[in-house]
Amino acid sequence: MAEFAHHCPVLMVITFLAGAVLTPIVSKSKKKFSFWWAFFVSLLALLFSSCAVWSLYTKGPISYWLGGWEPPYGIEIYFDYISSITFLMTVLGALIILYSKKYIEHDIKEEKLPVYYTLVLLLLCGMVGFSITGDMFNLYVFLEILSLSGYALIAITEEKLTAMASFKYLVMGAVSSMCVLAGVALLYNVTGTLNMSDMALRLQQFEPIATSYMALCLFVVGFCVKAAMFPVHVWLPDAHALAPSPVSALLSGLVIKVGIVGLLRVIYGIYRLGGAIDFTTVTNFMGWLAAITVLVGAFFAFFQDDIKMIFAYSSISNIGYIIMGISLISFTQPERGYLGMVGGLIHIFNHAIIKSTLFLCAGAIIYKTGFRKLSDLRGIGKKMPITCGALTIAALSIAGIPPTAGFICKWFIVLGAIEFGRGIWAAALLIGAIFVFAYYIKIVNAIFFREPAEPILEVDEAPLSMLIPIVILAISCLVFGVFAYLPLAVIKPAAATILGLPPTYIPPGG
Amino acid sequence: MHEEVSSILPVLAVSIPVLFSITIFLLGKEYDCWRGWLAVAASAVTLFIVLLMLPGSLKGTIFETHLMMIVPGIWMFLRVDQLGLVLALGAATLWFLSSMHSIGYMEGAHAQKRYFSFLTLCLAWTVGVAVSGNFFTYLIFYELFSISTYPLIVHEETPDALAAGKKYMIYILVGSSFVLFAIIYTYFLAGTLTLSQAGILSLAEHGRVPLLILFWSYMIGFSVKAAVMPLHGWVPDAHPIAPAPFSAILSGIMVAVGAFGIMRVVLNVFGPTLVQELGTGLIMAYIVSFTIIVSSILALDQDNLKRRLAYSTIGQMGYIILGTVLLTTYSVWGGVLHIVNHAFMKGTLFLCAGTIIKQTGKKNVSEMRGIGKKLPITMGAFTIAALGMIGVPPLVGFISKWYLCIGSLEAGEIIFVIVLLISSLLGAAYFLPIVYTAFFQKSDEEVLGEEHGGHAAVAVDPKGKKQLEAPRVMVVPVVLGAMGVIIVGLFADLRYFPLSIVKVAVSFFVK
Amino acid sequence: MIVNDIRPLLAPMISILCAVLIFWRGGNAFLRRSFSISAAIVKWVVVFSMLQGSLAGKIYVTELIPFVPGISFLLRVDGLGMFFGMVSSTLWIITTVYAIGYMEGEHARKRFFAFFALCVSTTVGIAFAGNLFTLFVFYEMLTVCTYPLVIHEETPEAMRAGRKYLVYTLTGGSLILFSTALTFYLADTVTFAEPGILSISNGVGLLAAMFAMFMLGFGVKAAIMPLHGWLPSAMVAPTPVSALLHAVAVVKAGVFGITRIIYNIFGVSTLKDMALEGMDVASVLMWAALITIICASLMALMQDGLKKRLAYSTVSQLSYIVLGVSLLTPDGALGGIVHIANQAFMKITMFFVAGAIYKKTHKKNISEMHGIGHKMPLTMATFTIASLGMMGLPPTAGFISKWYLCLGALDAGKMVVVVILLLSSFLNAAYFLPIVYRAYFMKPQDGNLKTDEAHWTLLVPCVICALYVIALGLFADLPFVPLALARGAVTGFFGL
Repeated sequence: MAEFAHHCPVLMVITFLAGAVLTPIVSKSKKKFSFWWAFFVSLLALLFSSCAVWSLYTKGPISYWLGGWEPPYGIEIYFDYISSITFLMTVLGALIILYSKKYIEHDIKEEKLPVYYTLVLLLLCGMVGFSITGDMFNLYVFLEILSLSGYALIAITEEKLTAMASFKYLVMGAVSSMCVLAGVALLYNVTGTLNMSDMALRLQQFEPIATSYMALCLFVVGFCVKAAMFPVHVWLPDAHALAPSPVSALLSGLVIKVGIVGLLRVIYGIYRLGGAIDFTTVTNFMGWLAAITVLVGAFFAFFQDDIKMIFAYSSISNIGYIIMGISLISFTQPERGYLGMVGGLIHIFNHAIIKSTLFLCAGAIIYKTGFRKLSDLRGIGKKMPITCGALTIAALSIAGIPPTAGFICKWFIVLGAIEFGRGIWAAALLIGAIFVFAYYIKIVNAIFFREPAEPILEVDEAPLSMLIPIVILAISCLVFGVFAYLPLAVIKPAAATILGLPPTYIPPGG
Repeated sequence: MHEEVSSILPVLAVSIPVLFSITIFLLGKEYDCWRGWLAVAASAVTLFIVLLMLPGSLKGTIFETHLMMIVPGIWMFLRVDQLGLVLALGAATLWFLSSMHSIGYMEGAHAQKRYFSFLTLCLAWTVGVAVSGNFFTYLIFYELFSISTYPLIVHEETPDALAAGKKYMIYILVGSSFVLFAIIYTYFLAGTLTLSQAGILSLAEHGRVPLLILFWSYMIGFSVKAAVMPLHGWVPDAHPIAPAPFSAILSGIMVAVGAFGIMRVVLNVFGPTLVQELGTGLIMAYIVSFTIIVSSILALDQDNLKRRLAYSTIGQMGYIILGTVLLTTYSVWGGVLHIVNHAFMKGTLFLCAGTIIKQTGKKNVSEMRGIGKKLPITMGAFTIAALGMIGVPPLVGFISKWYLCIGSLEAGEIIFVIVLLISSLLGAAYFLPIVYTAFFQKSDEEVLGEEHGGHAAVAVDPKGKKQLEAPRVMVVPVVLGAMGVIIVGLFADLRYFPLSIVKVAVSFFVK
Repeated sequence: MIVNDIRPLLAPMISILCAVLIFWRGGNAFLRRSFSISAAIVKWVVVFSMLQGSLAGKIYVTELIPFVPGISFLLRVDGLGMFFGMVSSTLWIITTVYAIGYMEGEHARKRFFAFFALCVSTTVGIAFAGNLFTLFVFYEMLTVCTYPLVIHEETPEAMRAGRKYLVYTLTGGSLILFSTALTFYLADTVTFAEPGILSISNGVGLLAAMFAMFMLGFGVKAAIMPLHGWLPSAMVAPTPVSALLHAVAVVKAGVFGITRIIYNIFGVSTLKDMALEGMDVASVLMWAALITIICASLMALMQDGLKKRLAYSTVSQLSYIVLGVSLLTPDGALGGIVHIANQAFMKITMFFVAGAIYKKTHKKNISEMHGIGHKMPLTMATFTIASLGMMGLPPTAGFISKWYLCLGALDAGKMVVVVILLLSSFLNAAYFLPIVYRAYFMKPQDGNLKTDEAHWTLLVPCVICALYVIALGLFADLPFVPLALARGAVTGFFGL
């Protein structure tokens, strides 16, 4: 078993990659079969990721040498605490694929179904690979895989607007990829290696020089674009709102988190470990930007009428939460950043669940009614009670109302910010949360407490294949709020190791 | 000297009128005629219960009932001492007369159910005030009393009545706020509210300033009800507007409850010694002297009979308070005694005024020419009571005034004797013209008849008869009241008469 | 004495279960009613079963899963919690009966009763919360659960009111969250303790800022001026909601929170120490309460809508409670805490009456209520009793509170408080008595004097509450009535 678990990380990537490649082949005669194939692949990958995570928590990080070549010469797959995000990716991936069955048949031509599932699997492959690789160049490669499949997925409905959105994303995404690539190149120039842990070790031996500082800046800019932080967030609202809903769920729930994982890998995996340069200036700057992001995202969301647009802007706001949480780092006293880090990490997890729920619910509503503006959707709650109930739970959760999952994040980030002496960040977060709630309540009002208009009256509840993922996710929004210790069991050691503390670290008073 | 006995009688005295009141309220429409008699019965039973306590009380027995603990440390506590008994006695008697008079007066009036049930309810609260054993209980009954009188004052429901009612409410609520404050402050300072001894405060322990604040809060609070100027504003409006039998109670007992409160404060809470130490008694005495004179002068100017009586009441309350704050044995005798005496006299006067209104519809003195011929018995009683008010011996008014004057001399304050005498003169000046108008002036019809040459009798009145005397239910109370004014005055010093009990009451406080 | 027991958890769970059942089968009127009433009664029995022990000084505790590290989800029934729990579960039964009558023929009854049950559940949760964190969780849940009730009518006006309500309360909630986090940072715990968990060594300025934030946070629900704006607007809700939520649950959750903060988080001695250092925050709060008492009463005078007037009166009365607890004297605290119950019973009576009148005659404004006392004598009689109670006349419940508040103020040497309290009674009279007067002493416009009372489900709750108002005044000292419980709580706070 242990032997098997050792291979699991790499098997995940291979499963997705092979699955993606094989999709057009297996569904050549029967296009609709591509769904079952993709679903099977995602379940298989879920199995591998569960094994890998289980192994991680029983035995510690897995270091896998591709082809048996010893790093730093060979490519290393390093499955550490950060990589446990792959579990989330595979779970959400499976649920979203299940959801796609009905939705996407409705949205695109049948012969394009295999293309869709191929792209989804490729996207998942890119994300999973990105999260587990221990090699800088691989990191870049996977980033490109997921970005490219992302652009294609947005434009898959072949509408004019989606093509525009996709192009906007492509331009910004390409620039950010270039930044990352340039960063990788500069670091390679300084250290002469591409393996991350090796890079960290070698960085120690060099004086803090402008090159490595510059590389850091490039990485931060690159990943921040991917994560859609203010002021480089402009691509996100269109892309996320116009994509098909399952794609939006993937993009908003997971893909933007990849930017965060990248930041964690580079800042904490390389620079902190290297200890050569004091990056707190950068993180501080990131934190302030994050505080602005929280407010800006929340503020813009307030003026939207399109429900998916609201969700998209709220994603920006929530990315602000996460970056704020992980920016609370002190170079000399890592334990001061512990609570903020826990908050940031747990929000990666919770926001993925919550935002997927929201987008899937929106998708179900759009699927059933064809409307996406709030003004058209009045009274829909009476016709689709389960979907709208789930939407409400998720909305409460994202606003951070206890005892839902969103509250836990808010609690930790606020606590972290206060403990770090950044009361203003905490204040920004809380003000943002009020805004968030204000516009979510607009949605709840419209769907539940208004008289339905004529076309809405004929609508009924969404199909089962859509309801199952929605309900599972909505319940998780509640469960991970009440039983917050479940995700925390994973996240606490992750936060501790990221900060260079022992995994069993317990903060004072805790 | 006195012994305390646990007894059910105080509770009965309060609860029986309450039960009667509820019965009156619940009776169906077909029993309208019973209500009045039930009210009379209620007051009769209450009077009987109070009288049962009289012999014991004269011997110095104090009847007590601990009802229940309202808040920890403070009991709902009924305690009939001699002072309380005086008020209870006066109240029950006056209520008896007034209820009986009401039967006639209210005949055909609207909302009789409300009137009689609240009337009886007020009796219960008044007796409650009289028998309260601590200021907390006192406050409860005092407030209930204030609120329960409102429907009676606005009984007519005319805009005037409602305006007067509003004024009454505002005055009384402001007053009771002061009282409430003072009571709480007392509890804070003394840690007790019991009325069982002479004085629960001391200058040495509590300091001068808090005691002064306390004293004047009490005085302001109770003065509103006792109609001490300048806090008398509600009285001239409320008295004329209420139904006459209730005006009698309002004037005879209700304002006296305010004066009774002052008495309790001076005698029980501060104690004569402390009041003398503070020197506030004399200031109060000057204030009430001012009230006595000014109200009498104002009374001269009133044409509305009930309004004139109301101003007279303001003055008479001054007597009671004056007697109390002078703090000599005789003056306090006079003050306490005047509660009962004034109730008799003023009750009779108002009942007479009610009869006049009911029988002739006339409210103003100037219209009452020759009314004595139409209502001989009523106006006879009125005359006796008016003479009593002026202080003519051997009527009751004389007795109290006598003791008040002696008390003032005893206190060495001759000025108050002069005030009392001037007040008597003014009393004569505003009461005697009424008597004169009623008996010795010719009525309009007579004048008219004489002008037309002799057949006056024909044009006398719309009902076609000369005599307009009221039905028996209205005459009897008036006559009883007038007889009371004479008999209690004549035999003032007999055992079981008010003075005897007053002497015992005062002996506890003023040596 | 601390006892581990499941009942503190059971009490809120019963209502949640009830809500679930109503969502499930609430379409059927009979089932809906049975669920609501039986849950109310069962819950009351559960809470009541702890009363004896609580009076004897037992503290029942249910510690659940650690919610987040360092802070567990803790339910703990101490004197104050028992007090509030008892009040709200008692009123739930009465209000349920009333609501069944009132909501007859209204729309969305399933939703209404389900959220109604949820609200009560969270209120009891607030009462039994063992630490600030649990309190906050329930506090925010209450906000959310109340929302569908506030906007029940779904009119634009109701929606506006609902929005206002949320904006106010959520802003307040954020401040509470912020300061809760600060508390945890400073004290490393947020569990309620006697006497308090913060000490002056945490820095006076910081403590003062925290206190201010807590007060601003809880002050929203407690409707301390100028944070009261939502309350009068929220009166668009159906009357049982106004009655239970805006006279009992929601607003009382605010004052309850303030009480907890003052006595279980800061503690009397810390606040007094702060005053010595020049940061007399309790006095500031006291002044805010005093200003609210007067201003809200003046505003109430100007209202014509009966429920609006009641709302402003609530604002004013709530500040009595805040005032009491901010005096930092045992008697003041006792008066404030016991007023939680007394005001609840008085105000709920009034709201019930307002609802009954509206249901019977469709009259909302006081100016239309000529002679309503002739039409509905018993209903208006209960209103009269409650009005007298509000004025603080003996022997009603209001008097007991006022008595202790005044004593407390004198204890604290603040004569001005006594004066304002008395002035406020007077203002209370000025805005309540005209209603009584209009009802009884003015002729109805249609001249119809026939008695026509509301349905018994509306009438009986009014009568019971009114009788209780008198009983609370007359028998204040019996065991099992609120005063005894409040006394127990105060004893703990002051370490008497």
